[in-house]
Amino acid sequence: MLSSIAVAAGGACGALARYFVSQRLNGEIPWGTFCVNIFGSFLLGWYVVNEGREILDSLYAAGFLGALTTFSTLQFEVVTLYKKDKRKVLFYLVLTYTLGLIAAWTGFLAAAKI
Amino acid sequence: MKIAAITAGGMLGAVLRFWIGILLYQPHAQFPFPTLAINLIGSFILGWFVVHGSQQIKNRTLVLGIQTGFLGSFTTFSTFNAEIVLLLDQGLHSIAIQYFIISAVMGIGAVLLGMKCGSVLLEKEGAEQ
Repeated sequence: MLSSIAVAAGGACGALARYFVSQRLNGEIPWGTFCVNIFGSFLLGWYVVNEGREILDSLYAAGFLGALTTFSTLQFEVVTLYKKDKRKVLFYLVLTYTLGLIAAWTGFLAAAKI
Repeated sequence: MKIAAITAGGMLGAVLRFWIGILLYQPHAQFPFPTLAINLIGSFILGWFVVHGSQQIKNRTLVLGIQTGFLGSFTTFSTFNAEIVLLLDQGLHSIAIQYFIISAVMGIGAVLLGMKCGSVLLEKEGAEQ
């Protein structure tokens, strides 16, 4: 029960942060979604090295970072942008997947070293 | 109001993801099936919602809460990447690659299928009226 409340609180903050960043940065290429996805992946990569801190797992990892980043919006943006500009969509997609993995990996290695 | 809608949607989406994750969790599975299922279901529903579901709702704030709040928070990109990194770290390279390719290809497929279902439903309703 306590962990569900923590996930809810983290989820609310994550969703709001994603909304505000997207409002500010999303243009023809959705840079807002891009930023939250990459940044969130970095932070979670960093976090998983030492996970198992009970309430923080729920509040921060599952709640905040889970909700800050989004998979469905990314897929939807790719489909809608594809209809407008096929080159831009390829750029956006490849950049998101590549940097998402690099960001998570960098966070993971950095946390493992410390 | 917009903030309240996104807050409520974000809470529900994250909690539902958390619960489904627990429900689908298998202690000895190496392939991160729960996250894949959540991401694909969320992508399908988002595709459907944008084309069909949102048309039934007059209140734009509610649409924002469902779309950006609920469906955005339900699916997750950070967990997806962290799982790939953990699989690679454990030396499970082929599972990591399979997981990546299946998520990327089926994610787009799920949105397209959702949008298709939405437009079929729209046409059906249009024909009935």
